[in-house]
Amino acid sequence: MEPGATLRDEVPSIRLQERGIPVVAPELVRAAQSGDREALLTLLREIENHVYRTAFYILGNEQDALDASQEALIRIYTKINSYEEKAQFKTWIQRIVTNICIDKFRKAKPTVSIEEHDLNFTAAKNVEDEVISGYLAKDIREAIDKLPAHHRTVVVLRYLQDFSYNEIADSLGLPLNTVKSYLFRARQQLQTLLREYQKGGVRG
Amino acid sequence: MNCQERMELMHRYLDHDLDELEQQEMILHLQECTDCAELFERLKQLSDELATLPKVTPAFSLVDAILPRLDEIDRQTAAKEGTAAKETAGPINRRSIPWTRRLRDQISWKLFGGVLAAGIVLGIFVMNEKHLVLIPSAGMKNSDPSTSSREMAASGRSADRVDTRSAAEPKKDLAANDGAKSLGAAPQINDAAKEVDSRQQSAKSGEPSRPNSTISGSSRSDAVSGTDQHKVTASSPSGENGFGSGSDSAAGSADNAPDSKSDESAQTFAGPKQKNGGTGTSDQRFTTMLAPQDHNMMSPDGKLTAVIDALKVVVRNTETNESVFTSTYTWQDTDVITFLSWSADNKLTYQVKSGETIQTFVIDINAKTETKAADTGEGRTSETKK
Repeated sequence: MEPGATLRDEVPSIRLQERGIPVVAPELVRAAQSGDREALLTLLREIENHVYRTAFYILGNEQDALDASQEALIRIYTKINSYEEKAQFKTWIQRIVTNICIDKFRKAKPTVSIEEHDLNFTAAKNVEDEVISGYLAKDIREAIDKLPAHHRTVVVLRYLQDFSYNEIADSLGLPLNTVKSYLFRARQQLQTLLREYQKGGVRG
Repeated sequence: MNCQERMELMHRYLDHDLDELEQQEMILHLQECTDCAELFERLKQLSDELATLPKVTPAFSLVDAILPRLDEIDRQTAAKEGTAAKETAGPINRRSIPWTRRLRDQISWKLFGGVLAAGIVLGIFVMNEKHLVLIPSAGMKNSDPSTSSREMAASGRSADRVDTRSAAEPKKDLAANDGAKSLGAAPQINDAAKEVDSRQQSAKSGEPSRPNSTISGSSRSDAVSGTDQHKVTASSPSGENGFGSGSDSAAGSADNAPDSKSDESAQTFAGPKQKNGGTGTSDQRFTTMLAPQDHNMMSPDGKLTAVIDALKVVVRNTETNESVFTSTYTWQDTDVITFLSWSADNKLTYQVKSGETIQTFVIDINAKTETKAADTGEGRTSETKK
């Protein structure tokens, strides 16, 4: 997957499951595009939490998230005129922030493979005792950090932005089936990881 | 349908993507297959947990944090637009900061001395080589600056002739001329050459790092740069006043001295450098003609001449060369002393630029006193027009 190339493709927006973040009022977007600086700043303020949240869960720490989301907001500020209404504004925003995060992510740290991680939890014993008793949010965060970048991004858009498959596909410029495949695989991996955590008892 | 295929149903269920039929099928399967049922429970729980992950928010307003950078972006955008619309020179910014201010922010005043020195060198070069082009382009309306500057360069200090000539010329021309002339008349060649060389060095090294500034946004050749120079002059407050633009004795007439003019000459000569940073040929050419130390100024009646002697301002009798007044201040090699005006009641105003500090002094020759007129700080010289 070469996100740099594919994420720029325009995928028509299909509004099947429009939930999640309130779409920024189109009037505001238009005002911002027409050169109204105040409107543009208002718009940025409305989206900054969403931008930050995505960055935080993709990058896994506050400092990188602050950097990436500020960069994303600046890019939105300068590129507002390149937004076209055929796409949803919120997916356009998320495309920008996820692109930045994935770039940063690639540069910053190599993904820890799940195999490597598994070494720490080879001594799984009480499979029978295992009770599904709720994963710790901290464990979930750690597990998310272990996902490959694109899988992680899909999970973040699905759960933190409450995006539909189509919205995720729009945001990432990926085919719908790829989105599903990433998401399902990511959930599978997370589930495996979290189960290891519980079984290992190290972090449970 | 096997378990693997049903697993996709489970996932899609979690994403609210199943129709009723698919949902029934999945539930039926889960009732039969304990493995899948267990997995489904896990996935469902995972999904619920993911959905309730904390909706983190940044610790501070990101938009507030990036506002300065957004301003900077606007500034650069405006500056780009500005290069096109420079001629009109009005505020072209989207925001309310005057573009003169933005311009100032983008100029390294530390480098200005060097920039200016290089500019003077080029300016003279241009005057010598292409005066026909320069005259109109430097924003001057008439007169022949190149002639007098060349004469000066050639003859050393024929002050009388230049004086007469200059007095007849419009003010702007005088100022521009003076800078060239004083440099052209060169008794102390070696020092001067060194000084200018070093400045030029700094100007060159500084130039690449100079931010995208509206002054320079032109790729035209040095000879045509006059329009730009003119703009710079108009836009920049008189902060550059007298950076080595020393008026010589020819500038002695009182009406010629006010800083707006020496300012203009400074700016004018700074102009060419902005584009070329000084060429090797002109370097060599001018090491033999420069003498910034010889920034003389003659009193209105011509009886006295102010000179810089041993890094001090000294007022001498023009005829006898006898010292009438010696300043108590001693300056550094690197300081730039500029005589600004010599009033009819024998008050000589001059200005010293040391690094970024510009100080203005008034010598009352009749009273034999010297007073510091004003610390003009960032380069404003409004107080000098007394």
